[in-house]
Amino acid sequence: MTDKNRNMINRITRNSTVVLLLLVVVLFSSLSDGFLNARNFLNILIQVSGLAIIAAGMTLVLITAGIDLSVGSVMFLAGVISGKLVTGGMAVWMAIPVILLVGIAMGWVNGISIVRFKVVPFIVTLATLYIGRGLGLYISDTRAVNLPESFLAIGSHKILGIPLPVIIMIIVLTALHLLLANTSLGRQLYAIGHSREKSVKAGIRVDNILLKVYLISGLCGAIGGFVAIAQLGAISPSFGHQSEFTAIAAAVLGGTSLFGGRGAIFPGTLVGALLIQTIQNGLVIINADPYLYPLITAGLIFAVVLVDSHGKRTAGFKYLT
Amino acid sequence: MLKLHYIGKSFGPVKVLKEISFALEKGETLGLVGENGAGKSTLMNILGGVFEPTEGEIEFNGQPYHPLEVMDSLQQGIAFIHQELNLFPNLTIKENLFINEFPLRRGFIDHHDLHKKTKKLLEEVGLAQSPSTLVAELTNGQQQLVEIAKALKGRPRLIIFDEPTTALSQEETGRLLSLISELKQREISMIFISHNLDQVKAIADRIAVLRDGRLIAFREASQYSKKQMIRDMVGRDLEQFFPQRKTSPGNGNKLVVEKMNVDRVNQVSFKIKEREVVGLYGLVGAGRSEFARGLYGLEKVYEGHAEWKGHPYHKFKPRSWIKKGVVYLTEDRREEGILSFKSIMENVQLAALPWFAKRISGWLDFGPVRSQVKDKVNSTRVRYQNLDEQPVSELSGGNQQKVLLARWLMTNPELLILDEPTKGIDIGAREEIYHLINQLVEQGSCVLLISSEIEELLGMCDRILVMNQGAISAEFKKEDFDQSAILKHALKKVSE
Repeated sequence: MTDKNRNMINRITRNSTVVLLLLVVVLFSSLSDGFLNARNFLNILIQVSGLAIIAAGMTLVLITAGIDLSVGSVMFLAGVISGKLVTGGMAVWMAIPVILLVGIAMGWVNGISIVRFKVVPFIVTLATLYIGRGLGLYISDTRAVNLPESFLAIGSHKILGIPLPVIIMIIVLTALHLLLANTSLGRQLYAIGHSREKSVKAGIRVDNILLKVYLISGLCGAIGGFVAIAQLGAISPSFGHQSEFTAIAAAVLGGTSLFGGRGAIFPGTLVGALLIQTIQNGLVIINADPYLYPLITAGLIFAVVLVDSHGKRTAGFKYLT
Repeated sequence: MLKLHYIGKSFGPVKVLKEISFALEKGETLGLVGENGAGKSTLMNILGGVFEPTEGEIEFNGQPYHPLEVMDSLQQGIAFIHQELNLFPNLTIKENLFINEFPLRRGFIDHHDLHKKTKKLLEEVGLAQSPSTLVAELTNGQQQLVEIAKALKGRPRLIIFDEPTTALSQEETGRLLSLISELKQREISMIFISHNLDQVKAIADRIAVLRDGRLIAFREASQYSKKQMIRDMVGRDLEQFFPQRKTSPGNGNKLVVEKMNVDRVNQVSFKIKEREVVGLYGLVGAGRSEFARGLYGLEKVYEGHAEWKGHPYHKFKPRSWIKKGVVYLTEDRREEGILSFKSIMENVQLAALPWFAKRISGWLDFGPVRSQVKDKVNSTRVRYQNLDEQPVSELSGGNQQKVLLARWLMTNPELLILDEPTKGIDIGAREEIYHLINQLVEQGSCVLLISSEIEELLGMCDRILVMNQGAISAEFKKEDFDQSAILKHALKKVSE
C-alpha cells in the first residue's frame, strides 16, 4: 500500500464519525422542521454534557487498554448519597464535594485493586458496578430520591448565556484533552496502552499512572452524574444504568481503540457522544418508536467499528492495537 | 575502561559463567560470539544491572561497578540496544525518545524544545525522518536507529549491541555498521554480539569467544580466522556437528508446488521428494517464511497450485494439511507455538486430539492420548519434571521447541516445514533436533528446512534453494554446495 492511499484511508477513518454526524444532522433536518434551530442545538449540548464527561474519563481508561464498567453506578451512588444528605437538611452547595468524594473513592477502589492486587480491570469494575448500584439502592430504599428546587436551579443556571452543564463539560473535556496531548502523563498513557511491559522497561511509573487514570474516571463519573441529575431533579433507581456502555460507545465511535494505545477526546470522543445524543434527540423530535433507539445506536456502532477495523487492516495499523 | 575480574554466576547449583576476565579500552569495539547458551546474555545482563555476579568484580571508568538495577547502568554510562526494540509504534519518534523525561514548561510538554532535541539526536544517527513521524511507519532499520538515538541521549561511554543486524536489510545493515564506526571515532566503546561472524570480524577490534560459560578466546580480530573462531565456539570441527543420514532421497515427488503467489512471494515453484531435506535460504525479508506460511495456509495465496502425493490440492488450509500429514513448525515459538501457561501434556496433544475422538460422539479417551504423548515426549527428549503440572513457560527454549516438535509428531507427519527450528536454542538441544530430523527422514518423511544459518543448511540438507526478493534465485544440489555462491545468490539484486 502506498503512503498516499494509506494517508487517505487514515483521514477518512479518522473522520468517519464527523461525516456521520453531519449526515445525521442533514437527515433529521429534512425529516422535521423542529430539529434544525439554535435552541434545539443548545438542548443537544445540554443533554450530551453528562455523557461526554464520563466518556472523556472512559477514553483515558481505554487508551491504557483498560476499561471502567463502574461509571454508571458511580453516577447513581454519588447522586443518591448527596441527594439523601440534601433532603436530610445539608446545604445544597455541600452536595458538590460529596459527589466528587464518592467518585474519587470508587475510582480509588478500582485503581488499587488493579494496581496492587493485579485484578483485571474488567472484573474489578464489574464488581464495583454491582457494589455501587447495590449500595445506592440500599441507601435510597430502591425509591426515587426527589431533589429540592434549588438543585434544579444549578442545571438551568447560565453564565454569559451558556448553561452551566455545557460550561462544566467544556472545562472537563478541555482539561482532559490538554492532559492527553500536552503532558508527560498523557503521552505515557498511550505507551502503557501499547505495552505495559515495555513501559515498565522504559522507566514509566505504570502503577502510579494507572491509579490516577481510574481516579480520573471515577471523578468524571461523579461529575457527569451531577450534571445529569441537575437537569432531572430526581434520581430514579435506574439512573445511570448502562451509562458505562453508552460512554464506551461514544469513545469507540470517536476512534478510541478498545485494545489501548489509541484515542483522543477532541474531536474523537466529543463527536462520538454528540452523535449518540443527536440521534436520540432527533428520534424524539420525529416521534419515532422509543424501542427503536437502542437498535439504531447499535447499528451505528457496528457501522463505525466496521469502517474502523477495515481502515486498520488495510492501513497497516496492526501495530496500533 | 571496563575491566572484568574473574566474574562467575550461578543459578542455584548451575554455574553459567566461570572466571571471566577481560579488559576493554576506551573507544574499542569488542565482538562477543558464542553459541546460544554459552553465557553471552548472562554476562551482558550482569553489565546491564539485571543480574548480580556471584563471584568477581567489575571496574568501569576506574571505579568499582555494581549496578543494582537497569537505571543504574544507564546512569553510569552503559547503554543497551536489545535485539527486541523497546519502542512504542503508536507514538512519534520524539515521544519515544523522551517518553520518560519530556522537556517541560510550566508542567506541559515543551513541544518546541522536544522537537529540537530530537532533531539533533536524529542527526547524530543519520535518520532524516521528521521527529513527528509515527514509529510504526519506520522500517526495522530506522527503528533501530531510533533506539540508538535513545541510547545516545544518555551520553553513554559503552554501548552494548545484542544481535543488532538480524532484522535488517542488507542496506540497513551497511548503514548501521558505518554508524558504529562513527561512534568509534567519538571514543565510545562498544560490545557487539552477533552470530554473523563475518560482521563481527569486520567491525570488532578484538573478539571474545564464550563457550559453556567460559572465556575460550580473547584475540585481535585481524589475527583470528573464522574457522578458528567456529572451532572455539563449538569446541570441535563443524562437520562432525551435523549427523549423517543413513538414507538418501527417493524418486517420487511428495509435494509439487507450482507458481505460487503470496504477498512478497512471486511465482515460486518447488518440489520435494520422499526422504529429502530441502533447505530454504535467504535474507530476512526475502520471502522464505511468507512462502512457507502461504503454502500452509497462514497467508493469503493469490495464485498457484499444488500436488500432494500425485493428487491436485487447492485448499491451502492448515487443518486440511495436518490431516494429510503436512505440518508447520512456526518461527515465532512464543507467540504462535506454545501455549505458555498450559502443561506439556496439553501442549503436545493439541493438534492430534481429533485423531483420538470417537467417531460420532466425539468422546475423547485420554488413556491412549496420554501414552502417545509420553511416547513422543520421550522420543524428542524433552527434559521435564511433570507432564501435567509444569507449564511450558518454565522450560528452556530448546525444550519448548521439542515440545512443539512432539506436538507435530503426534499427527504422524509426512512433510515437516520447519521454520528456523534452532533459533535461540542451546547447542545440545540443537544437536538433538538434528538427530530427530534425521530419524524422521530415515522413517520416510521429508523436511522443508528454513534457516538463516547457512552452516545448518549445508550440514543438514540434500538440496538448498536460495530465495531473493520473493523469488527463488538459485538451487544447489548437495554435491555443488558452496557457501560463498549461496550467499552471493541471496545477496545480489534481482534487477541486475
